[in-house]
Amino acid sequence: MTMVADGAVLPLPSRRQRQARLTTWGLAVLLVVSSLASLSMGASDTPFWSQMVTLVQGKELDRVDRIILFDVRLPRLVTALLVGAALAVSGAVMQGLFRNPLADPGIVGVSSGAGLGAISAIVLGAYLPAALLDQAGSYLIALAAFVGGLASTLLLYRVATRGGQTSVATMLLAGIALAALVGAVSGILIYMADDTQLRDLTFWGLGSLAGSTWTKVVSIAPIVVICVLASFTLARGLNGLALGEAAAMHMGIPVQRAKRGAILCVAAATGSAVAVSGGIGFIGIVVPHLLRLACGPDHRSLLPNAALLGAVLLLGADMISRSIVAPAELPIGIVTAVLGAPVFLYILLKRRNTLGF
Amino acid sequence: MIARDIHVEIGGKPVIRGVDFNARSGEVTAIIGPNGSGKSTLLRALTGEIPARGRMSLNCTAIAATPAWELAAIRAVQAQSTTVAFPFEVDEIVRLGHAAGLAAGDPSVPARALAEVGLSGFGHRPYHGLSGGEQQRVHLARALAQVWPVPGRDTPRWLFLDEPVSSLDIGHQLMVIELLQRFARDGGGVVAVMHDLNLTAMFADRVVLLRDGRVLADAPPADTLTTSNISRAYNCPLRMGQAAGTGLPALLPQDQMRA
Repeated sequence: MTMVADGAVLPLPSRRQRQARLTTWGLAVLLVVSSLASLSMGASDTPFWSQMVTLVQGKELDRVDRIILFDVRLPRLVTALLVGAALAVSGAVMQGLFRNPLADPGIVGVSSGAGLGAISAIVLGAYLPAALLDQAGSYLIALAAFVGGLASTLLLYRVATRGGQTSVATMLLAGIALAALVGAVSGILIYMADDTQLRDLTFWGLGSLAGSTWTKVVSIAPIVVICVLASFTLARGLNGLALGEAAAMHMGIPVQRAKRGAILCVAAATGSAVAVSGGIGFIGIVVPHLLRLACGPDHRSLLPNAALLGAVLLLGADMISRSIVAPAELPIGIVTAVLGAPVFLYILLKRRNTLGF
Repeated sequence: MIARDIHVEIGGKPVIRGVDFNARSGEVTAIIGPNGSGKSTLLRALTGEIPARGRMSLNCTAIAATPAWELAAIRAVQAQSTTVAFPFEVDEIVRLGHAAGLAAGDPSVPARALAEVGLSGFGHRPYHGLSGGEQQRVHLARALAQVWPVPGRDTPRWLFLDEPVSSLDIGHQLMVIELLQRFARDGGGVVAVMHDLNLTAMFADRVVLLRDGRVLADAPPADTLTTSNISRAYNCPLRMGQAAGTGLPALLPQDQMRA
């Protein structure tokens, strides 16, 4: 604090603002480093650095190296970044909307809803003309996942929120009910599925980045980028909503518009993530929680940092899942659950007294 | 602030039944009444927080037709209690209000607003670590920062407060009351729901007494806070006295002993 002539006090940028800025830079560097690490990981004859040197010199890689790098590892890298950012941002936005650090698309059933959409698209899509399916298959899955996510977010908000206050108990219980319902419908669809579809469906349950292709990347990249950027415009509204709907309104925030924007953002980001990677849990709860501890709950810094940390964290989890049982691969959903479930339990434990069961 | 023929129903039950309400800038207007008389409901109707029938205008513009951000620039509201969802620091909460007001360009306002409510140096404390009374003053500072005066803009600015001193000790009650009187003297308008009749008598320029959703009296303190009005409103025999020295209406529990 600096005293100036008329006795007023000029605030310096707060400790938290400085930390948030540092965190952003740190995460950006980490993102680049871990991207390179991820590209270099895996079985290949030519060392990664000599491949890079060849590329920088403007020469062509040999065919196998080129396919491994550009058609296998790069789409997988981009998918991990997009899905990680989407999951973390939708978690942070949902927590802001529900005014609760335990709200997470994976835990309260939004991911299940999106998964049901995707499963329906896979199984029922078989009844569409083959030509159409070839053209629009991955978009159809992404769209169906979005619709499923949106429907479950709206339902959840209706059930769990009353007069701008969300009951945690109702929210978690509604999530369980939703997941059970989705499980039942999925069971019916799985019963109808043929063998190829069954393999696809198993993949949904566990969550994996193994099937990443450029087609899938293209089908979700625009949605994820738009969601992440749009979420930044929600930041002020979510900050206001932290004091309750009435207080937010009196501070000039268009509450209904902010809420609608947040619900759309959560549904679209979760839907895209689920459409290409299935049920990867806990990123949406771990990332915002860590960032709130490090640089405070201000959504203006929380949301961009969540996108970065989500991308870095999922990339890290992907590297673990690829290396821990190499040459086989552990589904990434298992890795994120092992890392994330304890964090969820820890928050629950810390807040046990204020939950009001 | 002018409101005409206000009706509010909650759950199909009429809570406010035809209230006319006026408040002038430059004055402190207090709303009092027994529990359940509709004080808070009236305030929430006047701020547009709950749907109400009737006409309401602030600074000569109809409230219903004004967008939230425009109202936020001339009016701040403090609710009876506010829960904060995430671990914000005091300063961050005050700046939420500050950003919505006309003084948003002046970065010194949040610290000055905190100084006004006696919380200098609390800026970087975690909100959830404060006592109830301190938290209440944080929200008052947030409201003050939102309607902080801007030189050259002399449209009346308003504070709508629901029991702003309810969790405060006597020292801070007097501090806040003086602060609100100063706000009014500088041309602002204050509308406050009050619980304590003696404090009301001390600081209000006008007192509106509610009972069962209707106005029983609307006059300066000395004319509203009379033995007959108060006894009727609170439905028990009460005797208003006078405070020694000031001559203000006063109600001492000791005077009400039934012999």
